[in-house]
Amino acid sequence: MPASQPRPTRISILLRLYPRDWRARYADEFAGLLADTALTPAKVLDIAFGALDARWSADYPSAAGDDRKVRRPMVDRLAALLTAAGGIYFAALMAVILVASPPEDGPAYIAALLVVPVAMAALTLGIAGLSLSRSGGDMVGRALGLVASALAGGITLAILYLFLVGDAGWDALMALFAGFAAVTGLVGLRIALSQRDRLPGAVLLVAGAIATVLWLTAMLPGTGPADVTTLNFGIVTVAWGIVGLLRLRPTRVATAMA
Amino acid sequence: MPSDLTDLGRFTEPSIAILVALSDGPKHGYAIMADVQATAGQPLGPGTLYAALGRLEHRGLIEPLPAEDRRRPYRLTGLGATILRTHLHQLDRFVQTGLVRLNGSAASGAGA
Repeated sequence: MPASQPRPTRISILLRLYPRDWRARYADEFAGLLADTALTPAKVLDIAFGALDARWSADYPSAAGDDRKVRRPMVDRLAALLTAAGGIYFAALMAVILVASPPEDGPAYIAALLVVPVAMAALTLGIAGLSLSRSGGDMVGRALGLVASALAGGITLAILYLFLVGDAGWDALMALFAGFAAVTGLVGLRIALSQRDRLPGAVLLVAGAIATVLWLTAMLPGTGPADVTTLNFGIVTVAWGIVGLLRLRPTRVATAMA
Repeated sequence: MPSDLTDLGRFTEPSIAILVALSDGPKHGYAIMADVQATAGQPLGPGTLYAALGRLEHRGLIEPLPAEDRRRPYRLTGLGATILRTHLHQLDRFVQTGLVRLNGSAASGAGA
């Protein structure tokens, strides 16, 4: 038995680093172990990493079973937060461009446009995270999520290309966006049809449908493809962001997609 | 190596040490930490211990026994014993192969 034992308050603080369902299962015996252990800085760090692992992976027995809707490991939550952040970021961009209307060659306009690839990259990672999270489900939904992520990644690269090289490549960007909007609609349809909470699914479905129609109207005379593309990006990206925010249990998105 | 242990990622080695610690009978957390320190020569932190215990219990390789004064002993399950035995046999073959090759190399080097 070690000479110096940690105080109960210190043990209580360390226990609170762990998720609630982990504490429900292990807190008593873990507190007993810590009471018998001299807590060196190395051991405190080890406990902190253990708590992070419990929150990240949720790979332990729980009264909630393996239901990730209830357990909400951090790996699922971060993906949804990233998706929501992408939508919010894009909304900020749209506000700067559409409301403040800075001159097109001014620094504010350039700075706002540079947010686009960042937001799309966040969307790419967020959607990939949602579809890859270990939530079970069928192969079709998982594949749809990965396709949406790949298309969003393609859009990111296409936008970067346009920034760096010039105006060539709008057609490729439009084609990528049409695919992204269509897959977004399909994912929304799956969520709307398969979940009790159908609002986020409906948001995605409607956003995908509107964006696809807008893309088609870009072919009409007198409609600038750049304006329509920007509008499409706004609608779909903010829709993904809204879904990320509405889904206080983001694993439900992953479950529907996966 | 059995897939049931390799899918434990960075917790594979601590998990094997824990399974070995439990192979001669049930032990609680503090006793497991002391046993691992004594047999493997490496300290096992409380966070790593419980991350590995959770994974092992989740996979049915160990099971908890009723707690005794905030100390909960764990014991090896039949599945855990089988997987540990297989893993140790594989490790043994690996060690023997390495030693044979090393000795052969040393002998041929001495003869050259």
